[in-house]
Amino acid sequence: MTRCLVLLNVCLLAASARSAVNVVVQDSNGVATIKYECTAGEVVRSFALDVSLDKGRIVGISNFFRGVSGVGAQGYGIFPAAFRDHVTVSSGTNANWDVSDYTPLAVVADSPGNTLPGLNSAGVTLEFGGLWDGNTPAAFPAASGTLCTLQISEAAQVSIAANASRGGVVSAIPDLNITPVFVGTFVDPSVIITGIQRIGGAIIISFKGGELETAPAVGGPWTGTGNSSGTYTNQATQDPARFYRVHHH
Amino acid sequence: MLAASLAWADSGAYHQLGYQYLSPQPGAEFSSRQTRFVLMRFQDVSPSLVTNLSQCIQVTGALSGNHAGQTKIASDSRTVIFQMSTDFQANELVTVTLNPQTASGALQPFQYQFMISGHMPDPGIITARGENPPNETKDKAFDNINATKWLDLVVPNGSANFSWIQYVYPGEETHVVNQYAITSANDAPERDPQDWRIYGVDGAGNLTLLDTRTNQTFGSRMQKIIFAFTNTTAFRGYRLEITRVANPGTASGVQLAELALIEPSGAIFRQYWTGISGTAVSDLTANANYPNNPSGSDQLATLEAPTDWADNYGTRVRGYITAPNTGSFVFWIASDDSSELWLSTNNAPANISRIAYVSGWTSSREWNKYGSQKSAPISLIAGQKYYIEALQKEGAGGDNLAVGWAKPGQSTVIPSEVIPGSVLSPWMGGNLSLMAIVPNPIITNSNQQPVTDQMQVSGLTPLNLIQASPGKAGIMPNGVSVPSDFPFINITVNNNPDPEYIFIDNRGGGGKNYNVIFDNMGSPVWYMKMPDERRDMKVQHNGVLTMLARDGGNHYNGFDTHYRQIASYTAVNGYSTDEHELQVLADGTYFLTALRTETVDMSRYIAGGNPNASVTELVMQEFTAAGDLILQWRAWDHLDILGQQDFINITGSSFDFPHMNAIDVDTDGHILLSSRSTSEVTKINRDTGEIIWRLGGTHNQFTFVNDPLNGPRNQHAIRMVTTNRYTCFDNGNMHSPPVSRAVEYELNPSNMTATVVWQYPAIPTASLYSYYMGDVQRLPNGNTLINWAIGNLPKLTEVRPDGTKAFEMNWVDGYEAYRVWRCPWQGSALQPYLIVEPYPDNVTLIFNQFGDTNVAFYRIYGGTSPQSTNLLATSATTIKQLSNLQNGSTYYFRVAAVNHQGVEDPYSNEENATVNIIKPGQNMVANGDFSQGTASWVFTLSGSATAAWRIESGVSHVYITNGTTTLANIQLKQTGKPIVEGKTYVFEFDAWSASGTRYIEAKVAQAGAPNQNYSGTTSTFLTPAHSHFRYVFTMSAATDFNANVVFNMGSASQGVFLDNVSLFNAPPGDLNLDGRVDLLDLQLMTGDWLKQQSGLSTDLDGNGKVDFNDFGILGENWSAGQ
Repeated sequence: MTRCLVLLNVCLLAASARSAVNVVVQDSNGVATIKYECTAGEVVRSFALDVSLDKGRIVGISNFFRGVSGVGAQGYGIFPAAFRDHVTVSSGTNANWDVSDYTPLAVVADSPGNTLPGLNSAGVTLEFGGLWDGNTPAAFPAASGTLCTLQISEAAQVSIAANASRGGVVSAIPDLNITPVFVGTFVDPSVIITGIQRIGGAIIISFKGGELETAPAVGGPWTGTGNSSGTYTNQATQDPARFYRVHHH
Repeated sequence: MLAASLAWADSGAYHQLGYQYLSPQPGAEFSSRQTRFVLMRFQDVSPSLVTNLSQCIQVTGALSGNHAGQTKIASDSRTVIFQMSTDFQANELVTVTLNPQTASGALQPFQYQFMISGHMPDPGIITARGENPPNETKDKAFDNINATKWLDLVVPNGSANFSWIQYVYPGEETHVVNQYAITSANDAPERDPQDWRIYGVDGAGNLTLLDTRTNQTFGSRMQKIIFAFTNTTAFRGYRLEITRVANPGTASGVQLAELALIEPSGAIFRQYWTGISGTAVSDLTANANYPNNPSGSDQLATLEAPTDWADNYGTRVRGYITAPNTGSFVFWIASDDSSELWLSTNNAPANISRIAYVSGWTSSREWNKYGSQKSAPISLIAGQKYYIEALQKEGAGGDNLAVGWAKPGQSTVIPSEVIPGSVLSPWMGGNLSLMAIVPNPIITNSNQQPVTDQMQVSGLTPLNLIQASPGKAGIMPNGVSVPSDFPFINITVNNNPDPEYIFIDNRGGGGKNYNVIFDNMGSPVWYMKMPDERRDMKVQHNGVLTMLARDGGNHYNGFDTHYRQIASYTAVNGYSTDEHELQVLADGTYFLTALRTETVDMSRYIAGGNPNASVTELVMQEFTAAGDLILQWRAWDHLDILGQQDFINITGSSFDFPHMNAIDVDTDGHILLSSRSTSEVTKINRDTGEIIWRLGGTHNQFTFVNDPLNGPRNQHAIRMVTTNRYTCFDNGNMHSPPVSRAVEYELNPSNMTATVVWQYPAIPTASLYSYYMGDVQRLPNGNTLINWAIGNLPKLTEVRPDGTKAFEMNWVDGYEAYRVWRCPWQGSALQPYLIVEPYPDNVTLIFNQFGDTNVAFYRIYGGTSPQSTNLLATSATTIKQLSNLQNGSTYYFRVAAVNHQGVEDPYSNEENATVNIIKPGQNMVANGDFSQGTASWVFTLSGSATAAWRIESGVSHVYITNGTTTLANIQLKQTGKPIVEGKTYVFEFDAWSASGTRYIEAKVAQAGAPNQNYSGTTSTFLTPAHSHFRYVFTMSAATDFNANVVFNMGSASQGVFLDNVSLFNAPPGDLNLDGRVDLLDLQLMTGDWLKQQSGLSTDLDGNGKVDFNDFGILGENWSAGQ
C-alpha cells in the first residue's frame, strides 16, 4: 500500500474539512500527563503548547519520545529549539538524539513574548514535531498517545492551550484544517499511601504522588519499585517487615 | 415512341391532381442510392381517408426492380411515409406510382420518376419565338402534361406573324423523326395551330423542310393528333413553324399543350436454337444447326432478351446500333448462362471483334459480376451504324441476356441503360427482309393524364484554493474547477448586459474542443471537454440543450437540465447530418440540414464546368417530435446551381450547393433558410416546399432600401425577429471592401422591398470582417448578440439598440467559436464530471457536479482496477491533487458528491491515468553519468561545425575541430523533461575543458521556438580543472512537459568534458537543495527557528516567520529512509 493510500484512508473519516483533535491533561497519579487524541482520522504534524498552573511550579518533564518517528518507535520527537541547541547532526540521516537537554521545552529567547518561562515556573511552552516516512504506514505516530508528563510542585489546576506563535496544532494533511480541543485538569501531586491490603499471599499497596519506594528498615536503604501507577502488588515474603514510602519527584 | 429526352418533368403538375407535396420531387436528380423515404402530402384530403394506404405507393428502380416498403401516416397526421429498406442502384431511373383512393375520388393517380446518383436525361434545348411567362412558357410544350401549355402572344394569320418553337437534342445527339404529335391546349380554340411546317435542324442551325400541314383542326381541348411524314435523316433538332391559327381574328396568340417528336421504333433481330444442352457459347456455335437453322426468331424492342424463357437453348441477337452522338462508349453484357458481345468497327459483320463476355452466369442486368462483362471504351461517331451481335447459351435454370451501355460523359461504373430500341435496327440480311417493323402504340386519349412524367458548487467554501489561470488547472472564482487546457475568456465590456448565461463552443483555431456555459463574470457554470468540435450549443425552444456531435458520424445530441442525454437528431434518407443548424420547436418538431456528395458533370450546367465535379448537395429535413421525416427540401430540386456562380467558383473540382447554414421558422410557420453559396435567404412554404420569396443573391426578389451594401453577401444566421423582420450575420465576403455586420431587415412582401432598419456597426468596417461563420441573436432586453466568430474578433458583442456595447468578450487565446448564444438555463448535474491530469509531481483530479448547490463534499474513489470502490480521499473543493500514488501504475478514478444530508450521489465518469510522478530529488537526466555510453543523449552538429563525441571511461568528451562562431552549432541534449511551473529545480554537472579556458552554454530550455531558457543560465566558464556546477532555478513559465537539457559547446575549439549531469526538482523543505529533505534541512530550519524576517529560505510558507507551519511543509516532503 502506498503512502497516499494509507495517509488518505486515515483521513477519509473526516466528514468535513474541519475535525477535532483533543489535547488533554490527565492527573496520572499526581503528575500531569499531556495526551493527544485524533478523533476522526486526523494526522497531526506538530503541537506547540502552552501549559500553565494556577499555583505552584512545573518542576520536571519526562516521558517524551525523541527522534524521528519510525517503524520501531513512533511519536512526536522533534523539538526544534532543543534540536538546534543540543543535537549534533552527523549526516542527513544520523543524529545523536540521546542528549539530556534534548527536551520539548521551548526556548524563551526564541520568542520572549510568546514563550512561557519554563521549568520552575508556573508555565512551560512545549514544542513537539513529528517526522516520518510517508511511505511507511507503520512509521506514523499513533492516533492517540502521550506527549509527555509534567511534574508539578503542588496541587494545581493545569491548563493547556495552543501556542499560536509557533503554529499551534498543525495538520499533516495539507488541506485539512484541524480544530484542537484543549482540556485541562486538576493535578494533585500529594504524596500519600492510601491503603494496604493483604490478599492471600499478596500485599497490595495503594498510593499516589510519586514512585513507591521500599526498604527493609525505616532507615533504609530505600530503593524504587519503579511503580508510579498508584497500585503496587507484591508477594509477601519471609522478611520480618518491609517499609514503603512514596517519593515525589 | 415518344422521344424520351423530351419527357421533362414539371414538378408542379402534381398539385393539379390533389397532391400538396412529394418527395423525392418528380424529376429529382442526384438522389442518393440510400433514399429510403417517399413522402406524400395531399392538398385537401386527410391521409386517414385513403382506403388503400398500404398499397397506394409503389417504387420501382429501373435496375433494382420493385422496392418493397411500409406505408404509414406520420405523427403529424398529414404526411404519408413510404419507407423502404433496400438501396437503389447508381444511375438508375426510379419510377414512383401513386394511386391513393378515397371514397370521394378527390385524389388522382400519378406516376413520376427521379434519378438515383445521376441526372435525368438531358432535356435538350428548347427555343421559341415567344412565350408568356411565368406559366405559359416554351418548356410547357414538352412537359408531357396536357393541362399546361405554351403560348406565344403573336397571331399567325397565314401571311405574317409566324410563330415557331424548336427542340434541339442534348449534346451532339442526332435523331431520326418521322412522326410528331400536337396536343391542343386547354382553352381558347381560336389559338390552335391550323397551318404549320416542320423543319429539321442541323448542327449549324440550317433548316430542312420536312412536312407542311394546312387547315388542321382540333375537335376538343387537349386533343392529341399524330402526323407522319417521310424522313430518314437524323437531325440535331426539329422546328414547328405555325403560320396560321384557327381564328386569327379573335385569337390573342398561338398555343398548344404538347409537341411530341416521334422516332421510328427500333428493334433488333433475335434467333434462337432450342434443344441444345450445355452452358458454353461454344455449345451453340458448334451445333450443327448453327447458324443456318434456328428454331425460331423474333424482334427485340431493346437489346434484352426474355428472362427465364426456356432451358437448353442458344441465342443470337444481331443488328445495328446507330450512335446517337460522337464519343467514347462503354458496353456491358449480362447473361445466364454464358454469352459473348461482338461489335464491328462499322456496319460490316466482317469487322466484328469480341468486346465483352460472360463465362459463367449472372442475374438479370447484373453488370459487374465479372470484369469481362465490361468493354473497353469504344469510340463511335454520331449517326453511323455499327453491326452488333450478342451470343448466349443457356443450360438449365434461370436465363437472361441484356446489353447495356454508357454514352459519352456518363458514369462508367454501370450502364446508364439497356441499349434502347431507338438506336437499334435489325439485321437486314438473310430472311430478315421478311420482317415487319411494327411501331409501338401511341396513346391518343386526350383525357388521360400521362402516367409517366420525366422527370457550480456554491455550497462549498474553497480551502487552500488552487486558483485557475490559463494553462493551469485550478478553481475559478465561482468554485468550479477547470483543467489546465480550459479555454478562458477575456471580458472587455460588462455594463448591465443580458443576464442569461453564455453558451459557446470552441471550434479550434488552435484551441481545445470545449463547450462552455459561462456566467457574465467569465466563470464556467458548466463545461465539457469534447473529443471533437461540438458546435452550435444552445437551448432549443423545447428547453433541450443541443449541440453537434461527430462521433459515429455527424449528429446532434440533446440534453435535459441534468445534462443527461435524452435525444439524438440525425439526418436520414441517404444524407449525412450537416454541421450547421438544428432547430427544435416547442412541440419537438425539428429541422436540420443534411448533405451528400455526388459526382456531377458540371459541364452540363456551365461552360468549363468540371465533368467530374464533387458537389456536396445540401438538403433541409423536417421531422416530427417522434422522428418521422415529413419534409425534405433539396437544393437540386428548388435552386439554380448557376445562382451561386457569382459567389463561389462552380467550375472547380469540388464545392457545396448551396451551403445551407441556418434555419429558422417564421411567425407564419414557414421556413427561413440561409444559404451561403447563393447569398440567398429563402422562405419556404412548409406545406408544399415551394419558395415563397428569395432575399439576396442572383435570384433576389426584393429591392433593398436604406442599404448601401445592397443586401447581404455570403450571410449566416437568418433569424426571425418578428413578422417581416429578420436579422442575419452578413459576412460580406463579396462586399467591396469585404465587411461584416449584423443587419436587420424589414420586408414588405407587397411591394417587395427590404429595408435596413438596424445594423451594427452603423458603418461597416473592414476591421470587423469575419469571412466565415458568425451569428446574430436578438435578446429579450432588446440588445443584439453578435458573434464575430473568427479568432481575432470578439466572440460576443452585445450591442444596445443605440449601438453602444453592453458586453464584449473573446477567448483569451483568440480561438474561434462557431456560434455563441445567450439562453435561459438552470442546469444541475446529477453526478460529477471528472477530468484527470497526471503531472510530474501529482495526479490532479478536477471534478464538478455542475449547478448542484447541495454538495457538501466529494469522495474520491480509485484503484488500479476499474470500478474501484476504494475510497482514496475526500475533498471539500472541486480539485484534488494526489501525489502519493504508486508510480508506474494506472489508476482508475471516480468521484461522487455527498450532499448536506449525507447522501452520496452517483459516481462520475471514470477516468484513468498512469502515474509517472517524478519524485522530488529524482534525477530527471537519464544516463547523466554516461555509464551507459551515449544512451539517451542527442549530439548534433550544425553549420560548418566539426566535432566528435566519445564516451571515455564514463565521461563525455567532445572533440572539437571547428567550433564555428555559434555555441549551438555543437550541441548535446536530452529531451522530454517535465518542468512544472512554480517548482524549484537544481541543475548540476561536472565539466572541464580539454585545454585552456572556454565557455559553454548549459541550460534547461524549451524544445521549440522561442526556445525559452527556463534555467536562466547564460554561460559556464570552463578550465581544465574538474569543476562542479550547480544552478538552481524556479520554473516561472507555464509547465512544459517536454523541455530539453542542453549543452551548447560551439564557438570555441577546446574540447569539453561532461559528467554527472543531473536535474531534479527540489521539494519544499529541501533547504540545502541536495534533493532530499532530511536532518540537514531540519538543521537549517531549526537554525532559523521562530525568526521573523522576509526572504528566509526556511520560511517555506512565505509568511515571514519560521514556525511549525514551515515544519509541516518540510515534514510533508520528509525523505524516506530516515
